[in-house]
Amino acid sequence: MNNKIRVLICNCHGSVKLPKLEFGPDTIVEQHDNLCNVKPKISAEDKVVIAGCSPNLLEGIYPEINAEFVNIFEHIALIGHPAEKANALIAAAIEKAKHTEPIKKKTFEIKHKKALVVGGGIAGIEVAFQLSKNGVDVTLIEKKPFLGGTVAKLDRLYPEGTPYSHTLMPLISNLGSCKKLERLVNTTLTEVSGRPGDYRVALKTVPRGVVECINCGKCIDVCPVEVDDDGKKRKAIYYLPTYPDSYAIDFDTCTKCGECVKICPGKIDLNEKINETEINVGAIVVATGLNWYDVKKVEEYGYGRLEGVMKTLEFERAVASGTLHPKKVAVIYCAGSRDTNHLPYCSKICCLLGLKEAKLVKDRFPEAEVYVIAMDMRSYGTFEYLYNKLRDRGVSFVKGKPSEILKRNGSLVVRTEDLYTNELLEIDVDSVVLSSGFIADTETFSKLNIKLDGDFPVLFENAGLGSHELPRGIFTAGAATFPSGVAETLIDARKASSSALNLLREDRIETRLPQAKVDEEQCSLCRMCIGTCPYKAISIVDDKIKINEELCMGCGICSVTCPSYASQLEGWNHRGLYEQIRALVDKGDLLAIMCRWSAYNATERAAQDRLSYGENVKIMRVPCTGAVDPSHVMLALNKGARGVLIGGCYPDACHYARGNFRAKARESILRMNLELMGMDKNRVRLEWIGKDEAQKFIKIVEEMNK
Amino acid sequence: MIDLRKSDPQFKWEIAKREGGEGLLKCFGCSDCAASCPVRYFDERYNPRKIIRFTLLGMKDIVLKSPFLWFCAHCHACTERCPQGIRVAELINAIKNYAVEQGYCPDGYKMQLDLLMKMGRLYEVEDFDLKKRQRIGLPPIDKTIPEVAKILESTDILKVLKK
Repeated sequence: MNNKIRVLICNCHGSVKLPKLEFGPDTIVEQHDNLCNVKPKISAEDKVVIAGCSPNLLEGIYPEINAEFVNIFEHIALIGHPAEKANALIAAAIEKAKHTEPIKKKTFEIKHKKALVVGGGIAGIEVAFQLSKNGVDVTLIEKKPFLGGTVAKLDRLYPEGTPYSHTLMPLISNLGSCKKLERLVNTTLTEVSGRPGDYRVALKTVPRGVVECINCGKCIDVCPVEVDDDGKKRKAIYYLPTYPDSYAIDFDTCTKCGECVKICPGKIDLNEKINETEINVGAIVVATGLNWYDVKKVEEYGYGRLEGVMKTLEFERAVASGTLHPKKVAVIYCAGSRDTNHLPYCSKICCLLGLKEAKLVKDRFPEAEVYVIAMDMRSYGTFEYLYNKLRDRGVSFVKGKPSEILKRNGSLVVRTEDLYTNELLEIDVDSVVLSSGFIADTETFSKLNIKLDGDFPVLFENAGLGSHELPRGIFTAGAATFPSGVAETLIDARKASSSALNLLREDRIETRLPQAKVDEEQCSLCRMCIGTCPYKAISIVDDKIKINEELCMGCGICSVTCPSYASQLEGWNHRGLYEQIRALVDKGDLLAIMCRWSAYNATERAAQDRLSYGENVKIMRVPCTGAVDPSHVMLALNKGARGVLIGGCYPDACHYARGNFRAKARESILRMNLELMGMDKNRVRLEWIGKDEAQKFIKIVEEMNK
Repeated sequence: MIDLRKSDPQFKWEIAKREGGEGLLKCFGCSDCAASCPVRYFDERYNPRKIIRFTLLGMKDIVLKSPFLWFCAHCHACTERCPQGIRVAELINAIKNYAVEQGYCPDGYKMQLDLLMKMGRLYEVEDFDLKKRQRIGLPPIDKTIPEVAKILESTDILKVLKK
């Protein structure tokens, strides 16, 4: 290791004219002409300043080292600024490197090459199969007595209406060929601790009641309890042709009368004990699927109050099992969806379920009349063909949202306004199908600390990590992520299993995301950082602020919120930034502090488009405008800068969710203070600059230079 | 308000099986036809979308009794633009034909037929017209064309209209 700072300067095959470079005794200056292709030897411990072209490019070429980047290509050479400007930019970067703690590499050891799959629906089955086929030890848990999940309850799948067995049976028989697979039904996850590669999971298995079974079915005949299982009648002891191949008792409804115990030629034990175990796994895949929204809450539709009003699943099972022969059916869309009183979001698949039920009726009873009442038909993608086919087959589509369902003269009357004709309609039918939305299994998510957006896991906020990796090591698959159809669920399951496999096949994983660090001695426990963190990564443990390393994305917002400057972002310490600004800003300069995700790219775009701007504009790169402290701005003004421009992403488009809003709040207070101090408040501006908005950047810079 | 108990579920099939009516069931109500229609631009009471949607709902009375059904100028702008490929103008024609068969025909059409039967022309040719033709060097034309009546008789139109 060398205490000196290495300054690597790339002149891009001689296209960058360089002045005489001299940065003092602490530095070693090296000249290169092709840093993007010819990589010099740099050890990970070296402090390095790289002056060359765009940091966005070079960061990808040198991901393993701690480097400060200076863009002398796009910010000087391409736009015709004097070569001497490079001295100031590089000197500033050297000052920052001197006073900045390097970003430390984090290593997670993958101790257990084993995966837990939560949920035994099609997603969980597919994930378990894919993982175990690739040599991973898998434990698959399902909370119900049988595998198969929601699909096992369906009659058919959209769009063609193929029986569910076409899909589910091959998946389940796939599992039979897996060697390293443990299938636990009636099992739930109770507690999780640990980190990627090393989770400790507590499982609880409730008894199935049936211990030895020869599938004779005599128990069904004697069981006195009849249960309505989503539109289909069954007994409290029942069987599903999936896995395991044995009857099971539904203890929620069982009265423990003991009739089945008497007749069973195998063995039934009504008083089996709950079994609790603990296992160690390296990765967890959540495939908990979806739950139907309780449409009883949509009171005007009379579900549970009016006979003949059913959910899609109940209607499908009733028609399929032959207990229902509808003649006139109304399918009501968005029952409780896209409704701020119920589910504010669109569940994506209920439109297709409604079309599937319409097709089911037309297939079984071609003479029946079907009315589909929808606000909008969201038959996305090629599912449009199903919608087209049904119109051709004479299904009537009405546009609108029904106000209520009444009972009149023995039939159900649906009252709605038809927006196609602008007329109020009353349709009398014998069956009403409510196509309601779906909610997620939030219980499992909260146990796993998965951050939710409403009901479902946040997908897009996970900066730079890809949608599957929530906290890295925990993955979601299928409809647990968001309601999805069978085909999409299986594709998603394969993606999730390959993400889990990427983790499990390594011995250790390393990341170099900068992390926020809290100096305990300086911290006053004011708790302001807890509320400001967009990732809820900060909490109080044992009267100390603790930052969860897996959740922290390195935005630096907390470091600016902290009133005692106890929180600092690795690689972006306040001290380092102060030194950088001191070295960078001369009298009359305009300091542009640019967000690395948007505005900084706009400055590079200006050079690529050969647009020039004032030579006094000096550009600084920050991870987020939310990490710009008012003290940085004041320091620049005190050094004689004529203005400070902070450029960030447009509202709502912040890479770290809300850093730019924090910055806006700080900017307005700062401008107010400037006015109180008798200074021109327009010397400080925060502007939204998109990544290609070079013109806007130049316009603002010119305005500020006037 | 429309009470769908009065609707005729067979009506849409009746129209759909006619020449020109094939596309009826494909309508998904985007209203591009109405937005393209030059007649609707001047008279908002005419709206091809509503005619089609009422037909799909089986509201026979509303469709057939409507005087606006007969406003279509057959410019075919709707046919050009329909995203579902429905030949809207021909569809309206099919509905008109059905209406006539059912005995709903505006008096103007009946009068036109009378004129054609009587003189084979919609507009009477008078001596004034013949003089005018002579003045600009055109040959005279027949005041009546009896062949037209013969042609009309050989079609079913008289039987249909007499209903």
